[in-house]
Amino acid sequence: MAKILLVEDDTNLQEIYSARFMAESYDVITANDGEEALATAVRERPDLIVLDVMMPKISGFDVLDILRSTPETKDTKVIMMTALSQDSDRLRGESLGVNKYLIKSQVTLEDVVNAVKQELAAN
Amino acid sequence: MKHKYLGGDLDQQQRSYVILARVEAAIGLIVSIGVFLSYGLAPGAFLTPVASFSIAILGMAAAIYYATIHQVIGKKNPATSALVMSIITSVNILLIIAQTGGLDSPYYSLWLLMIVTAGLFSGVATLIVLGTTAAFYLVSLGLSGFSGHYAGDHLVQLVLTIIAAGLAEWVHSRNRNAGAESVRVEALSGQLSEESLKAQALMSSINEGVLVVDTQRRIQLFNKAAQTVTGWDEKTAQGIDYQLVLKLKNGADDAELTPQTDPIARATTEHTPIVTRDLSITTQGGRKLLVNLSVSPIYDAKQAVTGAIILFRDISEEKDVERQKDEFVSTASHEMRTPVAAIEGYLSLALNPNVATIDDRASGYLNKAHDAVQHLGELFRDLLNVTKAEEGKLQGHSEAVNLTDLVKAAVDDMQFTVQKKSLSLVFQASSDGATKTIAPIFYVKANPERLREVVMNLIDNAVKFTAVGGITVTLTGNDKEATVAVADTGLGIAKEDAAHLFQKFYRIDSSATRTIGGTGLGLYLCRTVIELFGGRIWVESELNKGATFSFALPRLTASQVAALQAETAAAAANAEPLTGPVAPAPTAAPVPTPSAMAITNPELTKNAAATVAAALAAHPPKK
Repeated sequence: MAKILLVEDDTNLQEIYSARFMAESYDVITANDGEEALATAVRERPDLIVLDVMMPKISGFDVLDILRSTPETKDTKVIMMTALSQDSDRLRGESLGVNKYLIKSQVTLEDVVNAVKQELAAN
Repeated sequence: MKHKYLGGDLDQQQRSYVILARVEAAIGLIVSIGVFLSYGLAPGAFLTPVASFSIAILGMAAAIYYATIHQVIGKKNPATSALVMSIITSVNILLIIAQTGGLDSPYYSLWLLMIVTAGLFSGVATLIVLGTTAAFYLVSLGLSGFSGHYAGDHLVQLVLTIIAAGLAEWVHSRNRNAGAESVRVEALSGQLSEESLKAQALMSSINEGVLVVDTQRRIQLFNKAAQTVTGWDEKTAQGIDYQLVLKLKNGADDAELTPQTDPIARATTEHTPIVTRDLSITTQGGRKLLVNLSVSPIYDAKQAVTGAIILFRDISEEKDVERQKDEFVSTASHEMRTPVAAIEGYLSLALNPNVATIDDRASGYLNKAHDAVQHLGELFRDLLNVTKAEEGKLQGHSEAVNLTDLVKAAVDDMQFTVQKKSLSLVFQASSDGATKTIAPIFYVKANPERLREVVMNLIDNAVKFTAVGGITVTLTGNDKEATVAVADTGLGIAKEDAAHLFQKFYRIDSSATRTIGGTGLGLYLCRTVIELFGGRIWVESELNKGATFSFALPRLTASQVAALQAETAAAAANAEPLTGPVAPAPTAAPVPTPSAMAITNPELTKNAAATVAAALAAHPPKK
C-alpha cells in the first residue's frame, strides 16, 4: 500500500488529510515542521510527500530543495500545498522539481485526493 | 514718449506747453523791460505813453504770471496755464503790432509765433488765431480804403502766413492724434496689466503645478505650486526644456520615457489630452514623487498646436493609502485561506461514507455548507486577483498561445459541468466567410493560464444563467484579430445592466438572477486581463433572449509566432537558478503579499547534507 508523508503544521488540515488518505487505504505518516519532514522523508522513504509551504523551522521550498539534493529522496513525488498564489511562487516550486502545486482554498479535498491518485499512478 | 523734465515725467505734449510758457514769459519780460527803457530814454519816440504803459504792463503780467500762478497750477494743468499765458501774450503782441505799423510792423513775426503755437492747444485755437489774423487784415484793408494796391502789397504776407499756419496745424494735428493714440495705448496697457495680474493671481492660487511649454519643449509658464513642488523657481525654469525640470520617469520601474511613453510628446503629436498616474518627477533636491499628470495641447486660431499645458499633483500620499488598502485586502484574503480549507476538508470528510456515517438530512445541510464554502474560496481568489490587477501583476508572462487549442481544451473541461444541467456545449471554429474543413489556427500573445481562466469564466457564466438550451463557443477571425464568442440561450441581459457588467462588484439585481451565485468580480477580471493583452471584450444581449459575450485579441503573424516562441524558449533555458529573491524589487513599495521570498533560508539549502544530518539527529526514530 502506498506510503504518504504528510507535512502540515495546521492541526485541522493534518487531521483532515490523514482521515481522507486513510480512507483510501494509504499508509499515512505525519511531520509537523520542515526539520521533522526531512528526517522522516530520508528515514521512511515515502512514495509521495504532501508538503505544506509555510512551516516553522524550515519552509516547504527549502525542504523541497534539500530533498532534491539528497540522493535518497531526489526522485520522491512531491505535491506542494500552499496558500501562496503568486505566479513567482509556482514557478519557483516548479523549478525546484515539484510534481504538483496546489493552492489551498482553490482546491477541494477531493481535488487533492485525485491529484495524489494521479501522481501515484503516473510513472 | 516720456521725458524727465522739471523734475517730473512729462510726455512730449506737456513738454511743449512748458516750453511755450517759458518762451512767452521771456518775451513778456524782454518786451516789458525794452518798453520801459525806451520810454525812459526816449519817451514818446516809438510808442504812445498809453501804448507803452499797456504793453509794459502786459509783458510784466505775463512774466509775473509765469513766476507765480503758473508754477502752482502749471504742474497739474500745463495746458490750461500755457493757454492763459498765450492769451496774455497774444493780446500784447497785437498791441505792439498795432502800435508799430500794423501789417507792416517789424514785430509781425512775433504774431507768427502765436499762429504756429496755437495748434498746440487744439485745431480750434489755430482757427481762432487765423480768424483774428484775417480780421486784422480786413480791418487794415478797410482802414486803407479797400485799396487794391494795399491788398496786393500784403497778399504774399497773407499767403505765407496761411501756409505757415497750415503747416503748423498739420504738425500739431499729427501730434494730437499721436497723443490721443498714446492715451488709448496707455489705457489698453493698463487693462492688460490688470488682466495679467488677475491671471497671475489665478495661477498662484491653483493647487496643482501648472506649466505651459511651447513646441520646442521650453517652459513658458511655471506657476507657484509647480515651484513649490519641484523646488525650481520661476526665473530659472523659464525657457528650459521641461524634462530637465520635471525629470519625468516611469513610476513603477524608474524607466526613462520614450516618445511613446512621454505623455507630453503624445499629446502634442496625437492632438489629444492625456492623463496618467503612472509617472514620477524628481525634485531639485533629488526626491522622487509619484504624480498625477494631465497634458492638453494648446491651439492657435488656425488650429495648429502651439504648445501644451501640463498640470501635475503629488499623489504619493494617495498612492500610499491605495497601497495600504491593497495590502489589507491581500493579507486578509490570504489569512482566511487556511480556515476555508479546513472547513471544506471537514465537510468533505463528513460527507464521505467511507469516513463518516450521517443521515440524509445532515447530508443535505452539509452539502449546502460545502457549496457555500467553495464559493467563499472563489471570492478570496477573485479578491486577490483584483489586488494583483491593481498592482499590474495580473497578466503574468506572455507567450504565443494557440487560441484554437486553448478554447477547445476549455470547452472539453467544461463538458462535465454543462451536462449536469442537461445543457449542450458546442465549439465552432471558422475564419470569416469561407467554410473550411480544417479549423484555422489563431495565435495570440497572452498568458495561457489567464486566458484559459477568462474562457472558463465566460462559459461558467453562460451555464449559470441558462436553464434550457445550450452554449455555443465560436472562434473566428481575420488578419488582424481573433474573436472568441460565448453565446447562450439563457436569461439575457437588460440594456441598463449591459453597460455596467464589466465593472467591479457589479451584480445584476433581479428576481431571476438573485439566486445565482457569483462574486461580481469575474467579468471585471476578464476585462482587465483581455485589455492587458491588448484586446477588448463586450456583450451583445437582449432580455430573455440569451447573451453573447465576446472578446477579441490581436492576432500574431506566423513570423511573430516564431519569434515569440524562440524568445520564450530562450528565457526558460536561461532561467537563473532561483536561489535569491525571485521577482525584481520595484521602486514603489510593493504590496507585500506573503511569498516564497520571505520564508526561504538559502543557508540551509546550500549545505543540504548537513541540514539533513542535523534533522535526523533532532528527530530520532519513533519506536
